[in-house]
Amino acid sequence: MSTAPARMPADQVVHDAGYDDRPPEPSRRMEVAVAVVAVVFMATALVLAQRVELRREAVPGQVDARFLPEMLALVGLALAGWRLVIAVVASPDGREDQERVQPGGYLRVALTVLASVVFIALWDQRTVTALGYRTELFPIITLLLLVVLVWLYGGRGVRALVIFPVLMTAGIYLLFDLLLRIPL
Amino acid sequence: MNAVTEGLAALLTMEVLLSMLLGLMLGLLVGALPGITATMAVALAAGFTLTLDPIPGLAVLLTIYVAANFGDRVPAILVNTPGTPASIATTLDGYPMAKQGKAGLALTASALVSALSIFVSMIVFAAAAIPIATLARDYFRSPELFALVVFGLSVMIGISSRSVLKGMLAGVFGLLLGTIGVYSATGEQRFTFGNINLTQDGLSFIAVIIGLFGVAELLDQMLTHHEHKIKPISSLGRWWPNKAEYRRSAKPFGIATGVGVVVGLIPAAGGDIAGLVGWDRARRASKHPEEYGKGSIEGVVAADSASSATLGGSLTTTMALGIPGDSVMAVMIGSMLIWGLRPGPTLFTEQPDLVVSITGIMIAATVLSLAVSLVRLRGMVRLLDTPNQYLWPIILIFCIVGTYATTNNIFTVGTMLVFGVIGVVFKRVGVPAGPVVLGLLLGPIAEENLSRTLVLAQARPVFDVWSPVALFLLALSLFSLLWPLIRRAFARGRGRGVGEPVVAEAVDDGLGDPEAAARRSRTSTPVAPPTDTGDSTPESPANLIPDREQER
Repeated sequence: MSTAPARMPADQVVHDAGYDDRPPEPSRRMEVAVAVVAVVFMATALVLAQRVELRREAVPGQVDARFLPEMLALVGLALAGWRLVIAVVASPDGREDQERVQPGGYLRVALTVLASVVFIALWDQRTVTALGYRTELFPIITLLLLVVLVWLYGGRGVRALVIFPVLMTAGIYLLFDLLLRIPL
Repeated sequence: MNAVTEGLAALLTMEVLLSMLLGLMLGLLVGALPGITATMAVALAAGFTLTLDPIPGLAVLLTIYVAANFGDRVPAILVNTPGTPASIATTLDGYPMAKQGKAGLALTASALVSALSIFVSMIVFAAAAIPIATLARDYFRSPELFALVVFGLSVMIGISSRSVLKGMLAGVFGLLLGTIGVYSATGEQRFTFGNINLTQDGLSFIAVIIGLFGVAELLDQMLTHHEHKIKPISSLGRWWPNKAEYRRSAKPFGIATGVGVVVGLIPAAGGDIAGLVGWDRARRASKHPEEYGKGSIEGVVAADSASSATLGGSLTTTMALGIPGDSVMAVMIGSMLIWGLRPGPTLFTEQPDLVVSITGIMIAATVLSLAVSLVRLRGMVRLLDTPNQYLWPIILIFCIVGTYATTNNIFTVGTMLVFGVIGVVFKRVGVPAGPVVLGLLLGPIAEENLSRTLVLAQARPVFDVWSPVALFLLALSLFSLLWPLIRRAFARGRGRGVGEPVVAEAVDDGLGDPEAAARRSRTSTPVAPPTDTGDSTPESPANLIPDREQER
């Protein structure tokens, strides 16, 4: 049940610049949370599987549409329960195979996901009509997305915020829309 | 002769040549950029190869697969950071060689033995694929196919996670995802919630894999990014080995290639495991084992021969049995299904010319990759400096548009993004993505064959339905899941002596997905060089790699 001791290479230290390259510490709280989420997920799946509508009864020996989801959810529930017990009573898993989250990391990811969601929502509109002209949204929002992302990741200046997004947008549009004929 | 001529003739078109050049460029690029795995690249390319015919499409994907295998050695040797998980073992001797001013020699030796071992593995593929497929077609009925799927899934679970329980949960999650949509036997809907996109085809496999392997990896890099970098070694030294070095390389090449071919045939076991096991086997057989881990050319040759030799075996398992040999092959199966090709026992028996075409593509891709590697290695070194402010947006936008291209449906893009977020959460909490993908891919096949088997079982005795082959595969599945427990008991019995190699078990990254190897396959965190760590000795590559939890 024990976790192998963390083996930290000699060059992994907290650097003067504030960069910490030690792996994250094992966390019992996280392991318990993972197990609880798994239990809830599998229990929900079991309930939903039992509610799958059957138009007709399966003949004896025949497997109906509920069989596999129910069986999987039951097995999953048992595994998740077992995992929960282990998470509570045993030492938490080592995390030497992961990198530590750096300052600003969560914000960077959250803003990236948010920008992508907005991009997808706008792209779903396909076109806008303004001043009597119908305009395709994809090139415009792709350009904007690239500008936002480059800025978010630290790019500054004309090359990063203008030339790169324009060239990338043109390249993507050429490749997918004109060459591969995918309706963007 | 017909199959041979037809298979080769299919390759002699300008479209295939251009496809291979595109694959070559992409493969070398992604291989040389730490953090972008071959799986991620193939998943991305799958988005725009779906519009191609099968052979040009396969040419792009297989060439990426081969070329990434060459490109990933560059950062492994120059910055001590594997370009993909398959080059983890390369760092053990490659980086110490670079520090000794022999980077050019290490790069050349690596490229040469990679090419040779791929050739050897392709001989195995060309010779074994059709017999294995024929055997499977003639003797594998529903019970055997069900058992084979269970076996593939259990091997994946057994090797892809520190915790077998987490791996099993991931597998069950993937199998549950596979039940979303319409139940093919009766046409009833499951978990669709009235959503027409789910009603039609269930979850898009390509969207899920691009999310789990592409976007998740990208988001994880964003979480852990920092400015600290090790500068690439700039002094490359001489390039070509001398006669003595060629002679020294023969033995480790032979041993490690043999290891790689065998490991490649095991479902879900990829180049990362083979590289470490091959390195260890060659060290044990060497006259100078003490030099391993300190910059030995034998070590570089062994690591790269073994990891490259898995390619043919992986292809054989994937194409002949329909069970992915590694993560790249899992993605490949998804693409092939969309092209109307169903990997499995009937594919090669019905289309033997495809074996020839695939072999031809792999060999041509290897020759091209070798040539470009030897000529353009200096240029590839510069790729290591590509700023993330350009790299990340490019990857993200290609993930988005590439996913859209598979269905022309924005819902698919949303699915991809959701699975990207799920994937990064999984990474942070130690749940492997490999079993999820395999569960999603193999779930419908398992259900179909289980259903048929249960119907058969109503009318016939148990041992008439479950043949010895099926029972053997199910027993192997159980064994692979219990193996961590057995190993722990065995290790306790031995007291786990100091320096005892636990190479294969130390690699957490079963499907080639950078679950565990990610830490060493990003720009930011290089592998600790053996010479830098007080307790690292050539006796134990596992000293460099966190020991796997003995499960639970």
